[in-house]
Amino acid sequence: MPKLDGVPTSYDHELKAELLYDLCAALVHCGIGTPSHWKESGANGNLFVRQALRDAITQDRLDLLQRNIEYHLNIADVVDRFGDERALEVNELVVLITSGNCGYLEIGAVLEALEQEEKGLGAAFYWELVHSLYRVMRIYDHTDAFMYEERQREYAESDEENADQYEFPEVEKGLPECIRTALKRDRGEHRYADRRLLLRHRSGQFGSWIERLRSIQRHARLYRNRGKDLSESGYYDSPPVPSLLIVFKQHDVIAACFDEESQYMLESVPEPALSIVFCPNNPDEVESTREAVAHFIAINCELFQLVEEIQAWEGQHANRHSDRGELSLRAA
Amino acid sequence: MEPCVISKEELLALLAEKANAPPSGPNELLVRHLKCKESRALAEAIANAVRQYVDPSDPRLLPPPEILPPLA
Repeated sequence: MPKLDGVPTSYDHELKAELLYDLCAALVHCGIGTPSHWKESGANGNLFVRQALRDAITQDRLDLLQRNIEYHLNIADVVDRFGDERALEVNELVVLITSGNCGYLEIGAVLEALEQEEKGLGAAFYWELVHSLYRVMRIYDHTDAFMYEERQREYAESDEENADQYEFPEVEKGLPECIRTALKRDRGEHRYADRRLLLRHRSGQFGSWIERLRSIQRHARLYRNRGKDLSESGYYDSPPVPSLLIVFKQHDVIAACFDEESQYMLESVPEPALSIVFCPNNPDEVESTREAVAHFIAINCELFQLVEEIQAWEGQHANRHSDRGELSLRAA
Repeated sequence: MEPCVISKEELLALLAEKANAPPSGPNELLVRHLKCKESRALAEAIANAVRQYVDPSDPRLLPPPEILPPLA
């Protein structure tokens, strides 16, 4: 029998190579790709793009993100639609950031400490954080848990025969008092008061958290996804995998709701966390895409630096058992 | 040959030249095969066989299953 050992198992080919080299040129024009990258890549366009992007993100930030979440950045001329690859328009590329799991923030002890510092400070911190993140990424928080509870109650009402077999999470009871109270108030009226309160404590003992929050807010305000967003074109059949799960305590009602829902999050084709179609020959589109991706990465880096600072603070201030269990989509 | 470091302008000119160059014949053939579902299925089957049977430390193929009758 002939041996297969030594038989070549890979080859290189190019399809729409002009788009790849246009992308390389666009990266050079905006200062991300350099002649050194070209030399390091051995004149290979794919390696050039990869190395230039990695250097632009920086190794420290890549390490930070990899410790907290599984993001994949991909630039392609086709998109996966209902399991099939569909080509984009001629001369178009798409930058996709997809998440394979979910970051994790346990914020209950933080809110308690902030509330002890001044009443309302914890709630202000929480609301400002979640509302800034809503602008940029999907997160899973108390709002999603409330929606899950409501759906379960609706299912039970429509299934009278088996209604007694349904279990309902009691989300409101599981919230810290400062959040439960704040649910009843008008957010529009309190938004400026919350910001003033946070500003007053910018130099206090929790100032570094507030500065991180302010940085997230700044980037979120500047984040504009101006390109053609595939999520609006019916390409995907479910929302993105959340980039962050925010619970108040480990194994609380929000974690329980997430664990139920997350079992099905990867069954369909979820929308990416970021998807922007652009033409590499159009400098305006390249620049707006670069800006959007840069803000998205910056927000995530600030967020996960905040998460790690909070974890370190909790390690110093609370001698707690930190078993998070073997749960499906939560980042290790 | 390892490329030497060139200027930004030279790199842009090189990239423009590559973007405008017509694809080579073998490249076009590969692209045609990759667009063909049957070719992709065959390539996948061969790749799986290679992964299963190529082992530098023990390159022997596994014995045939009982369902395959002897040749003689």
